[in-house]
Amino acid sequence: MIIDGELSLANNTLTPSMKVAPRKVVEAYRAHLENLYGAENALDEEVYIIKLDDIHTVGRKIA
Amino acid sequence: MYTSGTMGTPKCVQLSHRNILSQQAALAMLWDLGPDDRFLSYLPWHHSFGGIFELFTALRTGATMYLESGYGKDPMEIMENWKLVRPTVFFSVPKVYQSLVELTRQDPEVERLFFHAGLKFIFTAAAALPQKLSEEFERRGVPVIEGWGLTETSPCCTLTDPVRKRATGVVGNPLPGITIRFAEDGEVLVKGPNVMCGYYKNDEANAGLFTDDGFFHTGDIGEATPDGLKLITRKDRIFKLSNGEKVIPSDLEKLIEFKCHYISFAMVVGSGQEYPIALLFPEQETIERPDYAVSLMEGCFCPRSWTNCATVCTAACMMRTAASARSSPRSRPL
Repeated sequence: MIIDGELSLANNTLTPSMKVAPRKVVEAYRAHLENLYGAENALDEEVYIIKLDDIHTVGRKIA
Repeated sequence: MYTSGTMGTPKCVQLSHRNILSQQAALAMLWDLGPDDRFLSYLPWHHSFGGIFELFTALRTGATMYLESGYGKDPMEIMENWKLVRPTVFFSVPKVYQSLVELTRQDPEVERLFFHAGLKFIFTAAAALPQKLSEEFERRGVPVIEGWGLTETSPCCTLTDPVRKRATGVVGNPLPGITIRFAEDGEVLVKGPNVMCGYYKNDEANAGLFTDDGFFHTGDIGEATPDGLKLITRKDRIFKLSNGEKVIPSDLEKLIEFKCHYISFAMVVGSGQEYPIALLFPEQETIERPDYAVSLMEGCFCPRSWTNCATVCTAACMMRTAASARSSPRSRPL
């Protein structure tokens, strides 16, 4: 899932030493993640989903 | 000092004067710093890297510490301050080093300024410094020292030897006075005068924190190598899929972050699920101004040699497409 956003210190998704804060990131994108596992949450933010099966198909075609 | 709480609620770490001064006593045996040295500091003081490690190193050695006016957020401002201060040592994290080295690539004058002859060494921690990035320093004769530790250990437990060739992910050997061993599951255990006595008023967190013979459970999984401790992942980040397959997310995250320069951060999740999901956060500047000739990371770079790594590179291509189609009001699959 490619997210049109940035992690930051301001929203606590990065620690002061610029490490990802996993729980905060999951909290921030929980609805998107749930949708990828079958839920149907209403969403406003933009994300872009790449299914690996599709990628493998593309790779085979080009190769 | 409170932990940053990357995996939960911040905990109050009880560090004594002895803990902190033991660290400085160990560093005094390894580093030759003194009143003539200059620190350019942006690391926050509510965090152990800046507030204990860097700050007390400057105080103990009698060096001059200049506070970076941009709080480390703007590489251009850091460079302006760099010009004024000409630091002899610099403490930072890989993401900031990456931004600064990118600036040096754009202007030979900035390059000369940044890698000036008086720079004794740079110190990095918090994440593995990519090999290509450390080579930028090493080929100009600036030693790179990497450390590992936790707030609970005041914070530094290991340091790399700048004389030896760096290996990505290897964080060196224990400081004098510190002992490291491994639990059966690979967890790194630490004992020494730098280790805290426990968390303040937190019986739940304190339970099982130490082994019977006084070693502290760090929560990091690692292994011993000839060059020192190699970190693998945080213990609490390893998960299993619904089919029982074990996933070490940091392996996948490093692969993606190091192989694709369009991606700033990657995070893999999926505990108990049928399949894992990678959350990818694009490097916005690179997407807007892709440079196929220059990259600090190793591996393949979309679209130059994308067939080497179809998954990541195709993702990067799609991100570029996505960047130009941001007007879309809704989430959509590509």
